[in-house]
Amino acid sequence: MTGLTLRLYNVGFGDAVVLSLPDTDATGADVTRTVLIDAGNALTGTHGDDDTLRAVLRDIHARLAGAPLDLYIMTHEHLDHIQGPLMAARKDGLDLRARSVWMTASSEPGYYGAHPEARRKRRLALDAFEDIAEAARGMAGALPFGMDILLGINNPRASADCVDYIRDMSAPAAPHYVSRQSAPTLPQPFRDASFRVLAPEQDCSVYYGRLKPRALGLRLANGDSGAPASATLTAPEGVRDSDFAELLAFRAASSFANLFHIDRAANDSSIVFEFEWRGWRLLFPGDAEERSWAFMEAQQALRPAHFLKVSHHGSHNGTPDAVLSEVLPETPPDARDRVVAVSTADGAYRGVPHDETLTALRRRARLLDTRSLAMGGWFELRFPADGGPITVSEGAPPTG
Amino acid sequence: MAIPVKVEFLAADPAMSLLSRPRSGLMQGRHFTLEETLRDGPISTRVAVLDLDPDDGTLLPGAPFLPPGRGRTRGLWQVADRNDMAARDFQQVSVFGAIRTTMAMFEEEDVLGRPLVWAFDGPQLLVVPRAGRMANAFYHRASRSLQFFYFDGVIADEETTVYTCLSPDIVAHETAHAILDGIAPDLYDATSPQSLALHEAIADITAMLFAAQSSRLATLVLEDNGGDLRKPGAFNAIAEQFGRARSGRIQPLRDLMNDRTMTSVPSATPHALSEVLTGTLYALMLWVFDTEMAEELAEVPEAEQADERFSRSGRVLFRAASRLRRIAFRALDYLPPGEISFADYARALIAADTASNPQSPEERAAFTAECLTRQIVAQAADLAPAAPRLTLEPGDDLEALLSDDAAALAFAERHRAALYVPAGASLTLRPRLDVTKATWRKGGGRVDTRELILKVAWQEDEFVLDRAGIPEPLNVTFGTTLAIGWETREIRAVVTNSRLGPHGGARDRQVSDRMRRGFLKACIADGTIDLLQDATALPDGSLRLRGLGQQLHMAGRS
Repeated sequence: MTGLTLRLYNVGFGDAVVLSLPDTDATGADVTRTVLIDAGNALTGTHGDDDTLRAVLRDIHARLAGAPLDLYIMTHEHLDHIQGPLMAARKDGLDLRARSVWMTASSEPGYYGAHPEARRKRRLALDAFEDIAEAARGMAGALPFGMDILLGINNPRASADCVDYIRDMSAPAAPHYVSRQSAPTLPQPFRDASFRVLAPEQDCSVYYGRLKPRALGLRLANGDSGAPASATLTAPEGVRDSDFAELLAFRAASSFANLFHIDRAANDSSIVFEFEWRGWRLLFPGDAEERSWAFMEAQQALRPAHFLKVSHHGSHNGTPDAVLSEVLPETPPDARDRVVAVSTADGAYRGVPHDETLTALRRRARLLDTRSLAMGGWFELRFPADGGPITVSEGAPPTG
Repeated sequence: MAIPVKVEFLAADPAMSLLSRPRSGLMQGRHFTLEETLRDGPISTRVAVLDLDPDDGTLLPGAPFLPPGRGRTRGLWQVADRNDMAARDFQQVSVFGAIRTTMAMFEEEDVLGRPLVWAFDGPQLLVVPRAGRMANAFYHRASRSLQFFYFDGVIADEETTVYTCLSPDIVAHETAHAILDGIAPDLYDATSPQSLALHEAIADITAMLFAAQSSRLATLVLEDNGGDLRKPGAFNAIAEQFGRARSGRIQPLRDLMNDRTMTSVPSATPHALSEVLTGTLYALMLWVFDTEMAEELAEVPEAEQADERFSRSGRVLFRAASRLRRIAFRALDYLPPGEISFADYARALIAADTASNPQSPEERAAFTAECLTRQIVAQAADLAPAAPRLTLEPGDDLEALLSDDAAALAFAERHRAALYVPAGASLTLRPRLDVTKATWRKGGGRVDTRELILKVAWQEDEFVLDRAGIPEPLNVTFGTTLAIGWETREIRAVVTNSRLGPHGGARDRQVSDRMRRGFLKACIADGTIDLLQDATALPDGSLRLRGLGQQLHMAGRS
């Protein structure tokens, strides 16, 4: 193996990234280390195709040829990032093992007992989630655009089993619960490469914004219009249509905003890490959004990178301006190639991907977009040890 | 077309209504003549009740409007059972009646003397009487609405659903927020705890005055206290039992009869600070009450005074409440734009009352003494009205100043120094007001005064905010109010919060600034202020906070 390879699968709306890197063992012999960064896709509709995810997991398993992963990283607890290992075990009998597992700090058992403010804010957010979920269950017909996937990936009951499975992947060794503050105590998994953890903050309460008032008589239009009840109710005589519509929009938006609230808090709890090998710098932000990036910026933790896994499937919030200017400065610090890769799907999540954001990224680096691949297909990037050009190849969907 | 109508509302708190159901029914009526289109709902041009079903969001039928005619001299909205508080039509009519009555308290010719305008675009305040299940109620500018919620509670040992839309004090309180937002819209974006507390204090005083003008409720209160308003809880009692059933943000009225000072409040938060101002204003009403009562009893033999005190207390209370309403609410039109400290409000009150009643300084003296006691200002001179530094020139056309933005702006620019505008600051105009107020002079009868009220505002960068470790300046609004007599063309008042103004160096300014720094720091630390959501970065690099008052209010933190 002459270089570092990175394989990014098209799993639909989700992430599955495999890093294979040359390293040396304790005796100095050459070895290849394998790191899997998340494996999941969203639950419902065409964006959460179980067959695709299972095929991807089978491909990863086959390439390991019975060996365990050297490291599994669960960036955060969203189903579109975590449901792969358990699905593979249950449906295909594939028991994915890992020598080491890193999980986001807030997934540690007892975490919320030790962090009362985070517990309080999460409780409020979960209460709001339950309100909306209950209202959604009572709705006839299709849910508004984007609500199904938000409800799916944020469902704490559905994600608990997946998280528990990942927790045991390195058994009997315990997983490492990762935050910026705990990072210095992490064992460095490789000899010839280095990791730097930029996020999350140990106290994830900082990622919770303010909830809108709950219980504002939720009523959302059915179907895919995404419009609130104004689409189905008319103003009574004597009230301006526009005023009535804005009143209903406020009430509906408060509920919808709360669903985004809990979604963003979980995204912002993503492990964000930088991986450096032979002068190449690769940044993996999970689904970090504005709030987490703001903390990283304030810590002056952002540095130029040669590869960026685009955060949060290409949303605007996942790539604030600071990320562009700090991570992909207009004038690169060296002559090496720069590549960004986005794993995303159309029509799954309102505003994702965000075309203007992808356009801005494309101006700074070569953009790889999984939407150009068949479901289950992959990009493979090779970073040569001598710093030469990055080569990119594409692969067909795994079969069988 | 002017339509005579009777609006009705639940006279007392639901808890009191449960305890003592009067034979005449639970509702109290008030007569209006409305020059508005009136429809089922109730829906009028200025207020519309929209009863959205809290379970499925559908719009439920509103109470039918019965116009005058067929034996009715006044129109009214029909309520099937005037003793069934849980009925939809009862709640729709009651919340509408309480809101309209609250609005009238401000609009009367001897108070603001003008129709209210809302802070939002459009003439109509929307009201959702059953917005959802929680112990909350709030005004929300962007949706032009008052939202009243409901919750399960126990009142008088009965498990019941408590509807905040039925509580006249809560409805008056929330309506006052909407009204004050129209009068002083900058408070919506204020960053100082005193500015935010002013909203709460005015809303609480409004609720108290609403109760004081309800004859049935006033009688109950006076009976309980033997006509003595100094007894703790005299007016607090109206919400006490209801408060027991509450949870969440809805609290009983704040303790009006208090001795809080600016240094004895438990914290410099809007909620705690508001007690200082409500206490100050309530004390003024007590002073008026005591003064009037002393005059009433002057000729009464001492042996009969106790009985006479009780029998006359209702009438004296009504007069004292009316006088407090005039003096406290008139000050609001004189508030300068921007951030308002309690001292700024007190200056506006003194200036407004001086303009209206130049020959009757007694209430002003009592109020000034109370402000000193409560450390709102350090010395009486800090409340002295500013002497105008400009006069109208023969070419200044008041009609043009009223209706022509360019003329008004040119006038303001010409008088920048007299309006205490810092050099280089960019001026903006606020809507001018054409106000005709009635004043009742002692022994002199009624005097009508027409005024043009002109307000200018500007922004200045203030102290440094800590944004995720990066210091940035905060953008704060200041302003000056000018009141011009229409007939006399004299400058009746200049009220400013400018640092260049006559009170710009007063100690109260330093106290207010210090409180703001501490408040913002604490709010940022505990997440109440979320700079990602609440701050806008301006081109000059400063930050402007938006909607803090709204956020605190919706969250029950103000």
